[in-house]
Amino acid sequence: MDTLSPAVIQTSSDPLQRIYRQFRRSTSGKIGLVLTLGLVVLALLAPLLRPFDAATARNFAARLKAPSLEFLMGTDGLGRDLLTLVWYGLRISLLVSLIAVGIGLLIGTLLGLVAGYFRGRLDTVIGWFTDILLAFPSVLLAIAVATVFGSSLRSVMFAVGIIQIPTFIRLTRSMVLSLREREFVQTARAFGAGSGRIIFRHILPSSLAPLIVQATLSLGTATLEAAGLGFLGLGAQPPTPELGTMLSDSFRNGYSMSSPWTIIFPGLMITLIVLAFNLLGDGLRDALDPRSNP
Amino acid sequence: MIRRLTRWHATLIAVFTCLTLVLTNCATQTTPSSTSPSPSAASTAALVFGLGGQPANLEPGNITDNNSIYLHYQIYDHLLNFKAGTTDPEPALATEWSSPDGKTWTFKLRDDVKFQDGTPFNAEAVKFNVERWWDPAAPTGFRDAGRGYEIWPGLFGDFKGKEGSLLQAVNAKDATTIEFVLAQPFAAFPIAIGSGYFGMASPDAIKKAGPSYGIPGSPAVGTGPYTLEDWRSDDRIVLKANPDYWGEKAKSEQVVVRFIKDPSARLAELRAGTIDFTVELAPDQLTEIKADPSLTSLFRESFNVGYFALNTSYEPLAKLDVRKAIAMAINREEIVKAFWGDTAVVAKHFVPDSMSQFADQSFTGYAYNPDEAKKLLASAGYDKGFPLELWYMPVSRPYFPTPKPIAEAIAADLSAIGIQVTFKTKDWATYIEDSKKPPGYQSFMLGWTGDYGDPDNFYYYHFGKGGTTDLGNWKDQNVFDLLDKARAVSDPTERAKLYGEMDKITAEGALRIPIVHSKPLVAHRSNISGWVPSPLGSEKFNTISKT
Amino acid sequence: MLQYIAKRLLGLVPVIFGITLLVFAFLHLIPGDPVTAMVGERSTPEQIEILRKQMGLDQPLPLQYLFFLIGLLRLDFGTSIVTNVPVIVEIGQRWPASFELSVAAMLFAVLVGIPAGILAAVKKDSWLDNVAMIGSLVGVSMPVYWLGLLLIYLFAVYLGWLPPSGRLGVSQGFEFQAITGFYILDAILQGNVLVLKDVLAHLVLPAIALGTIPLAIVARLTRSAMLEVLSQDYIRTARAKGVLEKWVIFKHALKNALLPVITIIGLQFGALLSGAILTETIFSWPGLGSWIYSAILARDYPVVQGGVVFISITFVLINLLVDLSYALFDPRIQYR
Repeated sequence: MDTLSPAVIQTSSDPLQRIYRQFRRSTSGKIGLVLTLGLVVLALLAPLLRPFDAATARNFAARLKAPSLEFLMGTDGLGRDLLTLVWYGLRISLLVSLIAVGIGLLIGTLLGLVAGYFRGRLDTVIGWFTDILLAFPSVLLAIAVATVFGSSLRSVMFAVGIIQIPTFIRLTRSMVLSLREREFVQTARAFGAGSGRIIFRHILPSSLAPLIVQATLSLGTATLEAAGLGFLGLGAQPPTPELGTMLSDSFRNGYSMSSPWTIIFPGLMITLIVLAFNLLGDGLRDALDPRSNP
Repeated sequence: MIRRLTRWHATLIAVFTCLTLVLTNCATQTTPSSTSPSPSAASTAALVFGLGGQPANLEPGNITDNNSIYLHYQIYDHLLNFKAGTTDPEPALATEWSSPDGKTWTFKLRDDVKFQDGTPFNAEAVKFNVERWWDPAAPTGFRDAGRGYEIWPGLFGDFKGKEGSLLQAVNAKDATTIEFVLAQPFAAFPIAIGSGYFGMASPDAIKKAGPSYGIPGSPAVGTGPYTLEDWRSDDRIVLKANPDYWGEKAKSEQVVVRFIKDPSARLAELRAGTIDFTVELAPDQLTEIKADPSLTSLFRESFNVGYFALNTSYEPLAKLDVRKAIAMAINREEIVKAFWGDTAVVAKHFVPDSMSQFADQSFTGYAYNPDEAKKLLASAGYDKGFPLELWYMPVSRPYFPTPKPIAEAIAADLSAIGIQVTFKTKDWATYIEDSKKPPGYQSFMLGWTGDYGDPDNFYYYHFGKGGTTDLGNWKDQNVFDLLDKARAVSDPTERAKLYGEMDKITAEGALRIPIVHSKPLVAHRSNISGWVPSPLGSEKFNTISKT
Repeated sequence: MLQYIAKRLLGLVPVIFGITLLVFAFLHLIPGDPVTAMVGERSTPEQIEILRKQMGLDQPLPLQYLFFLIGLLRLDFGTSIVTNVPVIVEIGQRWPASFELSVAAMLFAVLVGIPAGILAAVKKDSWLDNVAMIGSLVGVSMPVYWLGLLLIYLFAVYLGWLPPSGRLGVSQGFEFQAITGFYILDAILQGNVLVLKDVLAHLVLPAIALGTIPLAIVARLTRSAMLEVLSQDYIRTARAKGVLEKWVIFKHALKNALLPVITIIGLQFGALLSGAILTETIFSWPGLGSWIYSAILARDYPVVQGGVVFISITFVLINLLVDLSYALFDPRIQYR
């Protein structure tokens, strides 16, 4: 059976090497990879390099201080060091987007596989569901979901996860539709492989490349959407330092214009995270899926 | 190829440059006030007010939000008014009022007032208005079209025909005399019925407009200094001076009320000169206002309380010593200084300072003392602290303009004595409702802005019968009785004694720990004069002029 | 063609039905009710109960849903609980604001994005190309509300060039009548140059904030589509024949490259109409998004239901139009 695995059929040389070569040619991919890895390492090292207890860190005497040598990014409305907050905000953002995309990827891919493989009424229903989710204004959907489950980081992950689902359904379904008639799948079926085996051993592995690309790009949008919910006040509860919530605190408590550093730096960090994911996604697309450029 | 392209390239650049020029050009030309201090002729007459949102409607008695009351004060008059900058009543549509027993109240009305549509204002008109609010069967109440009149039962017990209804009858004795008969004596009745919610609208206009009265695109007709000219949803309301106003005529021909939700945006507009005066600014904006020479800041005298409530049905908080410890752990001085600066005072009593004669004179709150607090906790058996859920409001209110950081500050103080705080919030639509559903929140932030200048408005709602469900199983018959008694008495000394007794019990019990009486910050451009902000939250604009 | 349109329109019915179901379900899953949202500190449980009854909120949910559906069929979206204004009237007032902003944002995106994309493609790998592509990547990575705040800070507060928020200033606005609700159109119809300038000035910052993401997408897509077309045989032939380079780009390459760009413009436009909540919030723009958002907070059920259904239908119809527009640009596509 292994001889029928799609990767072997697709290309004679080692696919990993081909991918690596392609990826190395992509400047944006390299920058994105370095940036993403850098951010991840920074996020992981935060507790070591800059220990911080959000529950007790505050210093009212140093409220809203402009950036200085002592506070490189200035301080926030509670007199906390903004650099530390933004640093920890990075951890939260990465975590939220990873889990949200995980939810979207898992549910979306499963539904897409089922719809594309079994077709029929199931496909119609899932297609209907996808159309609805796509036509429903996604920000409003996220707001509604987050409001139902209350303001917490968990409901943000869930809300953002839900609005990622239709993209993955669409993508997987179209992949499956083109794959299921392909020779290796037909052969597997002729050898008596069950649906589950065909889906998970043959079809899914061949769809991985575009899924990985899409997931990376979705990490970027998920970061933006999660921060957006935070900005609307639907996200993390204090003392969790969340980037969108920091922006919202500054804007709503009326010091965004007099202390602009309280909006500049958290926003920059969001942009940097999203940029890293987008660059990496671009690079991966060049490497894994060269035809689907842009 | 390159040379050919450069020309094309140049064209493109030229197009861009033109576009940018056009955009910036038209921009600089259209906002003259931001670049040059002398506004155009048209704008000298118009006063531009930046309000924090669109009013719910322009229908008296059917609103509770402050945004609406600002506009009601311009279009409508009330039975009585409050002296500029105070909570002291003064005659308005009623020239005098009296009651022999506190149960039957008679108001003498002005006889020279006409509504803006030309129909006369008289006792029948007052009766008409009151019946709309009070009587569910009033044909012009349009309750089937979704009218709620929520504030009526809030201030006067219940609607007509219900057991809790304070009002029993409203009678037009003659054209200028109106009589209210109450179920029990209520000393504060005149200022309650004279409060901002209850403007007098033209019966004729209401009958004509039907259920669409007071909504965008429909008329709203009162006797006030301004008439409604135009209402554009979520954008603005335009008011025009009422030339026949019976009182002091409006100094500005026109008032444009623009709706701008966020305080940052409102201040930005004020600094740009695109609005002339605005309200509900955040305390942290004071520095920004002071730094701008073209702006002037003002405060409303404090008439609110922001408190931190403890629910006795949560086991640790059932013990008085634990509640005391919490009250002692909170460094109110520091919190008020950090988040309000000069725009608030630390609350000594539950009632604002202007009514402190109605509070317990011997007790002004537990002083900050974390060591003593720790000892109290230990003696109550909580030397290792306990977990506590702290609920903070999701919205800015006048008493807690920035609830979240204040909650974080309170939590920091509590964690210093070993209490482990978890933050909780819900959106505003459920926050209060759920606080009153048993078992309620373990601890929460909330507050109150006075509707009129009487301690009853502060105390009864929070410590009276039915007002304490959010405190868990705390109930004190003695307090209930004192409150009921004080309601019926009209002698101020006697009332002060009763309220003082009642306040001693609740204040020392550390149930609703008063944190702050804030002085809401407002600001105007320097060319505006004659604005005296009222402690009650809004005022008429007829005295304001622009030079 | 007509048959195709009819078929597509018919296919929309179940989607729209699903949307009504989804919005209704979510709305009633959200705890809390309009009364508490309105009355705040002064509400009491008994009072809430009375008012719920009065507003028909105590009826069984399926029945409420049925009423909502029947209303929709009669084009009656109900009446706002908070303001008592019929929802359809409010939509009529607000969608011109949303539409105007979306069009302005899209114009900004297209007018800057397409030329930038073409330039980048024609000068592939030059510094210009690099700047454009890095710029567009940063563009799609920025939170809209953050960009909006920065723009306000820079252009309205610090430099004082542009108004910070709102749709129309005051000093010139008095004699101005909103006829269509599209202020630009109204100002032109009334020949009011002052108002026109003021309206445009108010549009600049929100349009830039909202248009940046579509701008970045359009620029990237134009570039890659152009690159693909420029490498095709017929372009090479045209060049070889000595056709002017400008002409090659405009006539041959651009025309063919536009198809995917138009698709994305359509899709982005739909997204703009519905996704402008944050931009509208920052700029106090009286559009649909911020309206529905505050209606969610106020539990104003009829507004949320009507608003979301309206936006979704618009979105779906725009997508349909995009599909149909293929026919105009690509005669090879047949509709059956």
